[in-house]
Amino acid sequence: MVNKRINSISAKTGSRGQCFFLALKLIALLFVTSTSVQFAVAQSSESLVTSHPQDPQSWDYWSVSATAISAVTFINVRQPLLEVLEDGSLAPLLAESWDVSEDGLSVTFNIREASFSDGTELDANDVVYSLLKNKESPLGSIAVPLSVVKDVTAVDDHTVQLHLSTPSQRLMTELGKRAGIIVPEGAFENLNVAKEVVGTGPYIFSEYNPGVDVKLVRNENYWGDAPHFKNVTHRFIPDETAAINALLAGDIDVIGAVLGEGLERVDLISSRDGFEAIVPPPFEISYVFLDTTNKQLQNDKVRQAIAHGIERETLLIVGQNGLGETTCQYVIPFNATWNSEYCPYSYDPARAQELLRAAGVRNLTLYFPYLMVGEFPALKEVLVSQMAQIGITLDAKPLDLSTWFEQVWGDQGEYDFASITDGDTIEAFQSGRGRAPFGKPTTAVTNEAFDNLVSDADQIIDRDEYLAAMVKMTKIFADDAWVIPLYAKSTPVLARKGLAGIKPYRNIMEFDLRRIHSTE
Amino acid sequence: MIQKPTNLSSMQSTSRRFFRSHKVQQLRGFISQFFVLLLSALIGSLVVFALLRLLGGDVAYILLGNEATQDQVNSLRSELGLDRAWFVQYFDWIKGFFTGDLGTSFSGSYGIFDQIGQRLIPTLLLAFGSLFVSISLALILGTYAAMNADNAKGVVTDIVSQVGTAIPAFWAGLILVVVFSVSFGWFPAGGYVPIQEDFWGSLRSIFLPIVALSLGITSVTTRFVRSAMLDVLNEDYIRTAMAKGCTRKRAVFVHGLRNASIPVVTVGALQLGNLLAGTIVIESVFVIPGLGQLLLTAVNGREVIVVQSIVLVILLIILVMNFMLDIAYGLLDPRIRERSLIH
Repeated sequence: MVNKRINSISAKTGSRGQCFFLALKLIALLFVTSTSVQFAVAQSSESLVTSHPQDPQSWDYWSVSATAISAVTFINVRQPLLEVLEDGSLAPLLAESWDVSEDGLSVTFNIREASFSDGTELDANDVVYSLLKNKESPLGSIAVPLSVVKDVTAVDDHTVQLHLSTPSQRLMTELGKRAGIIVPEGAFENLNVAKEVVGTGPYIFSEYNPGVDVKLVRNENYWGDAPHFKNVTHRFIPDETAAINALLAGDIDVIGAVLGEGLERVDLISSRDGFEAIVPPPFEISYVFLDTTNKQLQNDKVRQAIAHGIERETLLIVGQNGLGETTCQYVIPFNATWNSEYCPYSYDPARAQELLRAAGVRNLTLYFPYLMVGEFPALKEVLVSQMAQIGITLDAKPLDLSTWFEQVWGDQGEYDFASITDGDTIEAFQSGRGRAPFGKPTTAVTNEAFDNLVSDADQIIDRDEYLAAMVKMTKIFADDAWVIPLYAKSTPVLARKGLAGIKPYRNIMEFDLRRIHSTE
Repeated sequence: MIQKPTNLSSMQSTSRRFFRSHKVQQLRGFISQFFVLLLSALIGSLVVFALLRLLGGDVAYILLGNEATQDQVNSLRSELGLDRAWFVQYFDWIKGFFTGDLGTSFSGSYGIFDQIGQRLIPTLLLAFGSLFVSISLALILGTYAAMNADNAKGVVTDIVSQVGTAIPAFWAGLILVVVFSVSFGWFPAGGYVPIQEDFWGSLRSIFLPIVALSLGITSVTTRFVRSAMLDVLNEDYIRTAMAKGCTRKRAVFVHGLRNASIPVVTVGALQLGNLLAGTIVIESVFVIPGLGQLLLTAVNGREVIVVQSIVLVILLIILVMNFMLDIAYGLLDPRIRERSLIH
């Protein structure tokens, strides 16, 4: 009888066990089936999912410098007057055409028929309001080019005239960047521009989930050709390994910018079936800059020795996995016609040691605060070793971005030797413009020849004369060796195959969605 | 001199008085523990506030970037209220925290309280989901290992749990993504689906992160359960239960497990701190928009109010869990309950 009971218990237990495993199998099946459905969403012809490493936290292009703002919204949602093309030339965007007066002191723009995503029509008053507002921006890259603008007037509903205090070559190019962005009249007073983005672009800024994603929907009233994808989701994935895994798993279609540890995997991923890498020409420059208040660095020979001690090929491989070009000159845009092979201080450690001896400098130690993100820790290792080779000790200290800005870029200027990557033009280094090493109140050295050329070149009306001035300015800057360019950096895009129209160049980190389409 | 009760009614009233006084004592105990919790939270908040000021860096530099002059930085700091005295900033924050009004982030794009509320859900799902999975598995595996301590099955379980202890959660996460998302395509490689939007989608999105987080904790807790269970198996009451006709399994599950659970509860609650720290890494690996990711972004962006508030939330969770742990001890072990009543 006891045995019978035991058997019946074990039979019951057995059937319960079977039920349990059956339920587990069903749950697993449900999981797998519904995951497959999600794949279909990521790779549908209606939607595009991209990833970006940074969430800008604010969409206020006027007062926040984060490049991530441009990556998502520039051209796609907010548009400038002009478009800067790959070769640096200008094309119409919100301005259908423009005319510069013979004396270069007035520019007339014909504004196209377009409407903002809030439904209001674009007219000359919006342009007047936007340009005058941009002129007051706390960001030098926006305000400084517009500083030559004396007045902006609406001639009629679709014609705007700019009156300049001096002719300006730079102004027109900058009107194709942030300085030329047009928003509805009163936008800064009536909207919270940190999270409400209104523009004339092919997409409408639909939903922003901080730290997660931003959703764009096609603007059916766009003035140009309608873009292919109806919905675009930009996911913020700060960890590049996670972004690459998401691409490989089919969760996203494109990685908009590979900036960090993912650079090492670009070749590997592009060699896999179903994926490709698009490597645009460089548009930023990584460089070393030296503190003007350091007495020993004020000696030309010491700076030249440092420049001779830098071997750029290794730095490009270590910092950028070879994606870019080494350079001794600071030229942005990198494909500008005034760029050349000019290199006053090529790698020559023997010459560097000789110069240090001639300067009477021995056992030089330089404080080197470096950013502990992106390529900078790797660059630091190489720079420390290369400087050690010529007898200079770099006292390296890792800092996060905020502390680095405060210590190095702030007015304290606590550094001897520092390194950064930048996309601003060479003119930004003019004295008094706030940029290290020359622009700070603590700056002990100025280069008058360079400063004068920056001011004069901008006012030259004749194009050839202007180009000649830029060549001269770039060479003076390189000879000075306060700023030592290392390499021009290319930022690759990784995408699944079946997508075409990804723009082959960038000006300000924008990820232009207008022509991206599915080929499947 | 002890007065003896003379009749039944006086005995009843004595017993009522005894229990009433114990209830009052119990209440006092709760209140004093609650004040300890509050005081710890306040001290914690001061420490966090002070540490963030020592960290250096400034949100004004982050927002204005490399183009800012010192005047612009100072003007923005003043606009954001960062130039006020430290105690004014502290009291403003702590008042805002407890009244649910922390204002908007310095960048102006989100309400801090709402954002923390939204981010708390995936983080708690991950942390408590992992805790639940770990403790459940640990109880099964630890008991199994103890019951088979003298044979190969127990040794294998032991080895597996030791290996599990040595595997870091982020590494496990990466491997799980490569295998189950990239190679097999069974799960999404990252992201989080809110439970109210899609129940199954939500479970799918947190499945791999929970597995990655649980691995280490399950292993550690398994070892604790095994050791506690080995002690319990030698107790007289197990032998008595078996002598009364109970099978070994039944004796272990009915009488042994509850006694072996006390160290498990302690370890589980102590692991919560580690779990919440682990979620920060796991949220990065799996791109889950939880508190950890917000914390990292806020630290890098020097959104000090966001950082302070998140750390205080985490601190409160741990303190409340410890508070509840004290109560759980009493529920699991009547001796502890009585002892706390006597004291």
